[in-house]
Amino acid sequence: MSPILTISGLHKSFGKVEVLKGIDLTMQQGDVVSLIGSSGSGKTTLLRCVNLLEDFEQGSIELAGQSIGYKQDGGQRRRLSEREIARQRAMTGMAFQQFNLFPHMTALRNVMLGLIKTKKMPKDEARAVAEKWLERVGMGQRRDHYPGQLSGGQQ
Amino acid sequence: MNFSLFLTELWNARLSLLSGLGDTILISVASVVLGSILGVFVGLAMTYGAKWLRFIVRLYIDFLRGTPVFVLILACFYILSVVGLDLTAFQAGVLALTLFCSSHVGEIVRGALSAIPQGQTEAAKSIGLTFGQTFVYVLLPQALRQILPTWVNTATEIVKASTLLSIIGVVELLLATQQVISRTYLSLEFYLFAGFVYFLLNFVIEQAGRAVERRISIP
Repeated sequence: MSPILTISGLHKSFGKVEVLKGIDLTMQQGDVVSLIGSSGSGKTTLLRCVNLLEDFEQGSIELAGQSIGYKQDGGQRRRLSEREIARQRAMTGMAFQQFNLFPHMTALRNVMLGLIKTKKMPKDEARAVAEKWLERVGMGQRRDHYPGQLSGGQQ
Repeated sequence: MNFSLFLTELWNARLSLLSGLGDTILISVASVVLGSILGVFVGLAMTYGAKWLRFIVRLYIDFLRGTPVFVLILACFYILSVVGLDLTAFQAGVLALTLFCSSHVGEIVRGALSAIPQGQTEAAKSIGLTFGQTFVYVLLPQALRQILPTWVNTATEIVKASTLLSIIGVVELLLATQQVISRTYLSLEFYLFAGFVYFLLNFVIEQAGRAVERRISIP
């Protein structure tokens, strides 16, 4: 079975500080992988590279057979268009350390936004999906609350 | 102060005063609407523009904010006609106030967008929103809530600045009042009356702003 995620020789620097020095990682579908390391060792940076929130200088990331963020064009490494990158970002889910919920939207609308705008799901279907998952995590009663009205755990 | 004489003259002058009030409202609304539209683009250019564009827009903002409105009005009226752009006094006045308003709104928009935590943009990106979608659904709604109180303040400043258009002959409320005074010599009464009307206009704007602020506030 081909891996769902393949990271090869990933290099990422912030100025003169090289944070990721040739990371290789392979994951199969259904794998649960934990990244463990000291503070500042680049765990978050690696995840941000997978989600293209950070550009990386060398190496490649393949997700479900697609090269993430860059393509080879006549031997040159070229960054994909913003639209294409936005489409690829939608293939992954990311939970931020600071949550980063949209404060002007209710819990329900926070969940629905990506489904409607990125997955192009009809509004009614997106609502049903969002309600189902909020219910599943015990947030059914809180779906119409804003992030500021939710506890840290609920957020 | 002869109050009954004032009331009689006020009634006699009602049409010219109402016309002046209408022009004041028209000037203010046109300047605030046009200035706000232009100001949003100025703010966007300041926040997301290329370095050269930010430099040009910064010059635009600093020049307009550093110039007295009085001078801007005179410049729009006299200088533009010298270069062959013949505007009526009304148009020149609205142009001057629009430019003034846009520089303030531009700075307000820039400040509001910069104040939104970077994590909001990243969260929007991470669910696959494009820049346009991020701006419309995530950044703009949050920025508007921050902009509103300062924007209302700018709108009231424009109402007050509209009185300066009297110097180029636009018969707005102040000039209409002065014309009535020159006929009746009831200067104290009519200036107090004009002051009260300006207060009333700005009071209504501020109350409307607060009502909208309450309505859209995030819990």
